[in-house]
Amino acid sequence: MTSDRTADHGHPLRFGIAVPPAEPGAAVELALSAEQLGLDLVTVSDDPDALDAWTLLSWIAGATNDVGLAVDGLDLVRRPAAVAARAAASLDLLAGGRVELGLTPGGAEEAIEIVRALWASDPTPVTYSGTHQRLAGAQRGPAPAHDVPIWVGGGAPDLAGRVADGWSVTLPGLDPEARRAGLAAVDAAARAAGRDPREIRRIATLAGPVDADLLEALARDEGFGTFLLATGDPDALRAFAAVVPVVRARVAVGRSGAGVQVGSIRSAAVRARRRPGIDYDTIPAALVDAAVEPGDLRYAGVRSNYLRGGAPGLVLRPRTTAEVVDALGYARRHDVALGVRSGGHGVSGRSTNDGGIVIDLAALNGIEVLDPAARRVRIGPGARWGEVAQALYPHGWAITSGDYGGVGVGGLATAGGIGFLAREHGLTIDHIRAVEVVLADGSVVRADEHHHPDLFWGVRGAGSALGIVTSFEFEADEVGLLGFAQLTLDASDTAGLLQAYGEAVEAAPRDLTAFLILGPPRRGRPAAATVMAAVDSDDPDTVIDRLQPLAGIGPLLAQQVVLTPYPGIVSPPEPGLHQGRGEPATRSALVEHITPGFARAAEDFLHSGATYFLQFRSVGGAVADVAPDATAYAHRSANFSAVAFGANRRRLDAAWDEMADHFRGLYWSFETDRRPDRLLDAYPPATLRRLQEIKSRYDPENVFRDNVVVPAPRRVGSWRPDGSPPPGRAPSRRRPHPEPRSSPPRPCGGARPCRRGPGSSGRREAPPPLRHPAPARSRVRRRRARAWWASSGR
Amino acid sequence: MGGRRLSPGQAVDALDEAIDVIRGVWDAGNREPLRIDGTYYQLHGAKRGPAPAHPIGIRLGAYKPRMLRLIGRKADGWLPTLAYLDSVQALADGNAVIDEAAHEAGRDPRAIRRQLNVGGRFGADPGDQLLTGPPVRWAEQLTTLALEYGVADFILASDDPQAIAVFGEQVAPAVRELVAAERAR
Ligand SMILES: Cc1cc2nc3c(=O)[nH]c(=O)nc-3n(C[C@H](O)[C@H](O)[C@H](O)COP(=O)(O)OP(=O)(O)OC[C@H]3O[C@@H](n4cnc5c(N)ncnc54)[C@H](O)[C@@H]3O)c2cc1C
Repeated sequence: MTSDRTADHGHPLRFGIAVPPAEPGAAVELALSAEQLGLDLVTVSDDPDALDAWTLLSWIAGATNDVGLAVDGLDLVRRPAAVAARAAASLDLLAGGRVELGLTPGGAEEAIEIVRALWASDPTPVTYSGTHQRLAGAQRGPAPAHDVPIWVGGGAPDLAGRVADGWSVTLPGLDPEARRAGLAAVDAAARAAGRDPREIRRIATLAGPVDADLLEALARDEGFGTFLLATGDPDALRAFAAVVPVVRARVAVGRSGAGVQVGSIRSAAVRARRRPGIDYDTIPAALVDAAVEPGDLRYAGVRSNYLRGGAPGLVLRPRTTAEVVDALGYARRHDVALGVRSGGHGVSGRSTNDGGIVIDLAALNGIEVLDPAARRVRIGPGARWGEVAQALYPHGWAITSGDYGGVGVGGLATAGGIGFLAREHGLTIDHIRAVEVVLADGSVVRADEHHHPDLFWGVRGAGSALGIVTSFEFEADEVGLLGFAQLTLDASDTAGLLQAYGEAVEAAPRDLTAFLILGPPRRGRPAAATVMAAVDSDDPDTVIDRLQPLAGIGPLLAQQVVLTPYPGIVSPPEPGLHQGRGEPATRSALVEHITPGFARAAEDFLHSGATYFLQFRSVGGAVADVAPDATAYAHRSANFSAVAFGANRRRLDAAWDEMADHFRGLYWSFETDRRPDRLLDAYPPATLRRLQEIKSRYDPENVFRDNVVVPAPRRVGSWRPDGSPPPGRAPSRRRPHPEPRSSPPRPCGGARPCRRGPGSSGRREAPPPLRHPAPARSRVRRRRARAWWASSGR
Repeated sequence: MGGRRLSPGQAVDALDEAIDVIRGVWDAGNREPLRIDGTYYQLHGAKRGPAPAHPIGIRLGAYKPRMLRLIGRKADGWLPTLAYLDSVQALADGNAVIDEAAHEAGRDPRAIRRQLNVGGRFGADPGDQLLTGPPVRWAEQLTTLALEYGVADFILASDDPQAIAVFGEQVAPAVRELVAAERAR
């Protein structure tokens, strides 16, 4: 056999077993031992005399964890291709992207067209009229979890070269000459179709004892990359597995000597959709397989965020800190936008982009208890808060987080974290004890009180500007059942309601945290407000006692009070892809008190038509226990965080700016206005100065700029080191301090009764009694209420 | 899935044939190759098998007379969804159609299991609808459906773990007990 170097296509070698489909128990045993022996693939054949191939493969999929799965030789003349397409995609989704699909040559051409059409993300139905297959307006989907490779059997090398991803032959019974002719035909057909022959994997099924020499020759001289042993004998399987490392080593040596580049190659169709400015050929080897580019099937699932549409040129999906370092090093060699993504729920954070690179940390999603006594937990940035709540609940713990379970740990814990435990337990960042950060220069550091204390300070409030956090260590709190209420109130007197809300919240003990949501009045319906409030107590009387004042801030239209664990409030996300479109328009403000003046301004704002969602969250309490200079989140004294969503950026900004006099600052995570003054609103001068100094040391080249953009000192918009307005510029409309309150001095509550401000009317003096909490029942319904956050007005 | 489009009437006929195909394939002990020359399915000597591990019952979710008669003739169970029935009277009416068709086909109507998909709401206040209110109320109503309408299997449609737990731990045992007590009288 002459050695022809170009024949080795450099496919990563894979080894597997073709299990006989006769007896299900034995098939699963074999598959499991193949997985334990480190083999890559388990295939079953489509045999009319045996068990149904898909059903058996599904059974094997359920018993195994990460071995690849394929039906080899599926006959799509005998069964409708549309049914097979759905079966393969469904199993790929269920098994986490492990499926490959091998077809018999007969009818394969039509079948491939249909299968690919049904997997495409395209809303139009498929109509097809062929010799074997007919479709009358079939709905597409589901799309598989990954690009499921389609192989065709030995008799159709031309077809394989032209359209398939693999050519699968059974060696016994095929003489070497015919085999080599077939290989040449695959190559020729691929070239004729404008494809790179390396796009097509060559799969060889062997029987009987195999030796390393044969496999090495098939790999190096003929370009086979996948070897399957057809056997039902566990001993034969073990013997095969013993040969595998020898073959891998020998082929690796041969390849490096011959300069053969190893790796899977993307198809011509995928390469055609690549974006300029990205060097796709030098993606670090460890990241190649999981990377997603625009032509990939998986792209639809990773291009956009929850609220924002995107079209990045490349999404890298590292699984370890070392891979994050690789990804960052690679990204830094490019002059395109860089986004860092954890849970994809960025509002201010633009963790997707157009034509740039995204480093997606979804796979770094571990949740691990480090020290039960100290309630110390290590959490990866890709975990979602709903998952965290669920994982900690059995320990009787919770970490104060946001209110929405889909939000990622990475984005929220580097910014603040305002949720339903805020007044009792503070911000999320107040519970961070240490972080592991990948810095711009690729070094990995641990930051805590004693190591890199400046970095540790900055990560807690402006982490997005300083590095990529690859793990967080938190100290969780003991949290049991909570009272949770949803109250609907008549908001016809919006200003009065708001002011009464503010007073009720400030007067309440800190075990109460409340959010009030207003939508614009709609024709024919009275304006209504929803108050959602959590009480950190499992005692029904305490819960009612805390909630009762809120039920009296306006006419109560509906109420629901339940006792629920924290994951009942912050529930794990529904599976599904982010499908944000366009750009969200939001504004944020922090205010000390809801004064009569602010309440009136907010009422006008609501009626201006500029917003479809206006929310007032309570902060204060434990949030204010932390000193303003202790973290990069400085506005500790605010009692309320307001956020508005609008459909139109300019209208929203114009109306929101009207209220600027009342604001004390803003929460960066909820802000999307990009005018430079906003940075100062979020980070007051002393904070920003320190941030700039830290930035100049940890990220001098401004690699991290998809969210908080920290400018070099001289470039800060209107800001000057002494805090004075620059000369020649009209003084800001913003007053240094909010207007003094006109209603009774603070604080009231506790032993001291609260008098109502002028906005409250007599009819509120005796609020209707609240019903005692029932155990939480319908997770579904509460989740729907929360989804309104993002969906209304769209 | 882009298959052929059939009118509702044709679909009943096609299902009728399909049951023959399925039973024919499962009849693996039969040495004759499977031949079916139907309007919708043609099998020219297909291989039979594999035979399932136990006799798999074919149950149909049906509401209209032709389908109900098909159940009486060929199926092993009737599985409608409570919410799609106009009233519980529709259960009695459906049972009568099935029983009559079974008699005509020479089958014992008891060979056809009556099943029901149910949904509702657990809570303190009994509503005026079926299956709303506390678990005892559910149990009483399901017992009536079992004793007076012949329903033997109740299938809860819910994704709420709490509701599933209440159904399994409280409602189901209570119904079993009530039905057993009544039958023993
Ligand atoms: C539906 C919804 C509800 C929300 N509710 C709340 C709430 O109750 N309380 C609250 O405080 N906030 C809330 N937010 C805001 C949310 O905290 C921020 O948008 C946060 O950035 C989202 O985090 P993520 O990881 O999901 O987002 P991503 O889009 O993945 O990330 C957003 C930004 O964070 C930065 N980032 C992400 N991961 C890292 C990392 N590992 N290291 C460094 N920087 C990183 C990047 O700059 C990125 O652009 C909510 C947002 C949404 C969409």
